[in-house]
Parts: sequence; structure tokens; C-alpha cells
Amino acid sequence: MRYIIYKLSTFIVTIALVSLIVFSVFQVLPGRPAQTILGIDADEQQVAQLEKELGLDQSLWEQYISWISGLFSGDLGESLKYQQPVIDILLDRIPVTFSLAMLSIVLTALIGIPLGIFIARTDGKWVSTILSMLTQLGIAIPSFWFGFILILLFSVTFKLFPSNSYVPWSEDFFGALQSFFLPALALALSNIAIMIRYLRNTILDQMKMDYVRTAKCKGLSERWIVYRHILRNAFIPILTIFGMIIADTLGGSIIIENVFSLPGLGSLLIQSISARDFPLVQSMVLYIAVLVVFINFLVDLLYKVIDPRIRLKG
Amino acid sequence: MVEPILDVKDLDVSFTFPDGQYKAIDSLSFTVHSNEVVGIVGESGCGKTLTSLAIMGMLPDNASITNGSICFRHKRHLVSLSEKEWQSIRGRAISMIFQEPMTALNPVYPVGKQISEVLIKHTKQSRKAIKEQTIQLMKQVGLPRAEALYHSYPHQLSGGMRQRIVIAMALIGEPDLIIADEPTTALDVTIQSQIIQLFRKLKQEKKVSMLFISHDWGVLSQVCDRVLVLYAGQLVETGPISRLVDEPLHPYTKGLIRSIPDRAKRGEPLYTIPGRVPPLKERHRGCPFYDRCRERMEICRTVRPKTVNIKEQMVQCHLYTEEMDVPSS
Repeated sequence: MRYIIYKLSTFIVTIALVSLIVFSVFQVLPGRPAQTILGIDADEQQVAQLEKELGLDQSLWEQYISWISGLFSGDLGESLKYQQPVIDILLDRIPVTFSLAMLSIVLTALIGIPLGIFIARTDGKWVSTILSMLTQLGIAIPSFWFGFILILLFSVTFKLFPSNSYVPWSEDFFGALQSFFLPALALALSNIAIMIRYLRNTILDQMKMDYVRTAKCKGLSERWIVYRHILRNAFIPILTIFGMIIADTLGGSIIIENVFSLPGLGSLLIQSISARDFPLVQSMVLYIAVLVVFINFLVDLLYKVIDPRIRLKG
Repeated sequence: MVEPILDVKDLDVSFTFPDGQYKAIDSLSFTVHSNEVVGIVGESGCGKTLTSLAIMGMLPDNASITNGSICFRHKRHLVSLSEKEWQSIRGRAISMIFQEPMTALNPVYPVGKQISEVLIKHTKQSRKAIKEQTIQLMKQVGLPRAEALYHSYPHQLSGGMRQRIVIAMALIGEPDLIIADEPTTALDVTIQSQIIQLFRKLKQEKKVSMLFISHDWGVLSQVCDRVLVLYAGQLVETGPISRLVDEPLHPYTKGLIRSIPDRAKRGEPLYTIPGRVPPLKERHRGCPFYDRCRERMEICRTVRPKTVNIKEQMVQCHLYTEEMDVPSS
């Protein structure tokens, strides 16, 4: 229990700091939002008038307080560019990014974990060496390039997947799955490579541990030892990597959504930054930050489930 | 005479390095009989642990048995078995107890399950029966509240309790032979004596046969019937424990016995054998102990001594061979 309270308080402090940083960063950025809305022809008086309407003439502290108090009542302010509540715009976009990220993470786990185990168990054989070399490539190549290659291969050449058409889940389940599959895969590939390498190294390290020798002395098969003894230990560091992969997936979706023209948070973020749509950008960045911190919080809680020793450290 | 449980004959174990093969165990022969506890003693690097790993079929990748045989229960030759055959022997026919119980146990696996999985692997009993049998054995090795302990993790137990878990793990498959590799070294003195008591009880009640590796003569004399003295991979002396302690023959055994701390020798500096065990690559053809021996002769440098029987003891030393007067060439 003390462990949870401790983790929860760090969670809250981190979020508060993040909100402060997010807010100040956008104040430092050059360019005035009112000017962007009115266009470069607008004179100083018009700009000042609009700034007053939008509350941009208040002191920074007042602006921050009103933004934060808005957050607690579910009012994230109004987008300067779209002229509608930020919350509505976000709620519209979040499901797209969420589906993309989830699918990508599931792919990472489904492909990365079994392959990592396989490579560790066949260590030293040629299959394992070749796969290890491929993971190097997977880490080195950026996801948007994978995106282009996948579009070229599966959409243009083989015509198996749509490349530019987004289908919502509510319309057609399999259509949606199809439109999410390639971007999720492009996003997952480098994470799969990271997962494989990390899992392989962890398993090989664990194989040298004394408890593995003990397990061998009991006459247990290598398969039994890997799945029942080593993986339990290996999942502790793997969980950390998984938390990082999830955060990375959220960041990576910004680029991939643009490559695949998915109407998610990523494409919205880029548009609203160039439009100096501060209320929208602030809320989005804060949302992503909260999500990342929240995932880390969940990871910390999961440690406790996997590793019985954590209870002592709480 | 009854047939031995374990019969090791002329065993050579060699390490392969890029620059050649080096013998780490050199023509080692010994037997372990039913309900007998045989100790192995020697300094670090003498091949004690390597011997046990050879019997378990768990030599490191760059080591292999290059000569000799290990006969188990007179039929099975524990050399050139497949991994699958080894798995059916380990835990069931031969099991092992380790020095450091904290690292020998899986930290994230309940201890009861770590014991019972031996039975899950080797028998076809129901899970419930296995669990009952495990708890029964946990009580027999002196673990209180065994039902509750069954679900504990290693870090929740004390060092002595962990070693009892490791011992239960070695016993549960009812093996014919247990190899204990310094099972009391990592424990406090009080816990150590409790564990020794447990071993004595197991010998009497469960009639176990054991190969007991230790460098502590105090421990050995309480548990063992016979002791093998290993030096640089060779068996230099063997005999009943009492004979070896009272009347050691080999200069190396004499040195080991002399270096035991003793109340009678209070105030005197503790005796140590000068020098160290020669590294693997610097062993020569004569007596392995030549460099450090206080009673060495010219012949010891070049000729390896034969093994001589003196009463119940066997010793490999030129002091006791008849060819003592062979002129050195």
C-alpha cells in the first residue's frame, strides 16, 4: 500500500511539472497566435483587440491558472484555428491514435517476444545470427521509411491494403483493421527489433544464473527452464522496455499518421503547431505527457505483481 | 562386498583452450557405496566441483571427459549420454545441493513449487499428492509452518531455511546419490551445525548416499565415512575420515590437517601450506605437489608416484613406494 501511495504521489508531482513546462514552452515560442489568425495584413490594433478577446493579454500566471482550472472542469479551452472546443477535437482524434498505438504494441508483443525467446534459445546457430543482424537493421531504419516501403509493397504492388483511405471502426471492422495494419506494423518494426535484442540478452544473462543450474540439476528440460524459470525473471527488465516502447509508439505515431494520412493526434499536432493554435497544442502535449507518465505508473504497479521482492522496498 | 552406487574409474576431465588441451582431473578413481557419505577435500582449484559437474553431466562447454568411466548403479555409464537421458537421471537418480542457497533458488518462484516441480517432472502423481508430499518433506527437513512456507519466496526466508529448501529439493526425487557442494560454507556457524545435524539424521533415517564436498575438516569429520583428498586434479590420499585426521600420510594431507585452527595451538601463528595450487597450464609430469612439498625428493620431480595401500588408507606418494631407491635419470 505504501508503495502505491508513494508511486501515486510521484505521478501527481510529475504531471504538475509537465503542465508547467508545457505551458511555458509555448509562451517562449516565437509568433503571436492572434497575428496568425488575422493574417499578416492585420494591424497592431486589431491584433491587440483579438488578444484581449482570447484572454491572451492577461499575465502569464493568470493564463496558466485559468488553463489549469479549466482542465479540472473538463474545459480545455477553445481552439484558435477551428473555433471549437479543444475537448471535442481531441475526442474526435484520440480513438484513431489509440487504435494505431494499441495495434502496434500488440504486434510488438506478439512478434517480438516469441522471436526474442527463439533467438536466445538458438544462440550461436546461424538462424539466430542472421536474425540478430536483421534486428540491427530494424533499429537503424526509421519507421516512416518502413511506412513508405510497406505502402509500396503491399498497397501499390500487391494491392492487399489500402494506402490512403481511413475507415473508422464503427463503419467496417475489418476495413478499419486493414487501414490500421500497415501503419501499426511500420511503427512496430523497430520496437520489435528492440524487444528481440533486449529479450535475447536478458535471457542469455539469466541462463548464466545459479538458479538455472539448480533447475538443470533437477532434470528439467531446457524448454521448461526457459518458460517457467527464466521468463519470470526476464519479464522484470522487459516491462521497463515495454513502458519505453509504449511512450515511443505515441511519439512515433505523429510521423506515421502523416505518412498514412490517418486523422489522428499526430497529424493534428503538426497542423496546430504551424497554426500557433496554443490551446490545442498545449492540451495535446499535456495529454500525451499524462499518458506516458500514467503508463510508467502502471509499469511500476506491474513490477509489484511480477516481482515479489518489490514489496520489501516499498 | 556390496556393489557401489557410484564407481568412477580413471576419470580424466580436460579443458580445451585455443592453445591445446589441459587435464584438470587426472585419472581419478573412487567409489561411493550405499548409505555411505564420501567427502572430497582440497584447496580451491583442485577439481572438487569439476568432479561433481562431471558426474551430473554438466561440465562447462570447453571441458570434456577425455578418458575413464563413471558407472552408476553398475549399469549406466554416465559418459556419452544424450541430454534427454541426462534429464531423466538428474533430480531423480542423482541430485545436487549447492553452496549458496540464495542464488541457487529462483527469486521469483515460490519455494514450495521449486521443490515440487522435481516430482512434476519425474513422476505421474496428481498435483495434490505432489504438494502433500512436498509439505511432508519440508517438515522432515525441519521447516516450521511448511504449509505457509510453501508459497513463500526465497527472500522471505532466512539463510538456514533456504538451505533446508535446497536440501528438500535434492531429497524429493529420492535419488540414489546426492552431491553436496560445500552445503554449509555460506551459513552462520550456528546454522551450520543445525544443517550438519540434518545431514546426519538423513544418513541414519533416509539411508542416503552422498558425495560431500567441503574444505572444512570439522564438517567432514561429522558427516563423512571416508574422505578423498584431491590435489591439482589427482587423488593423493583416501581413507576413513578418522585415519586421515589422526594419521595423514601424504604431505599435502598433513599440511591440510596442520592448518586447521585448534584451541591447543592458541597463540601460535596459523600454519599455511606455502605456495599455491599450480594453475592448469603449469602442471608437470612428476608429483603434482612437488613444488610445495616439505618432504620432496629428486624422484618426485620427474616420476609420478604409484598409489599404495597402507592399512585402510590409499596414498599416492613416493615416501611410501618401494621404488624409492630408483636412481633418477
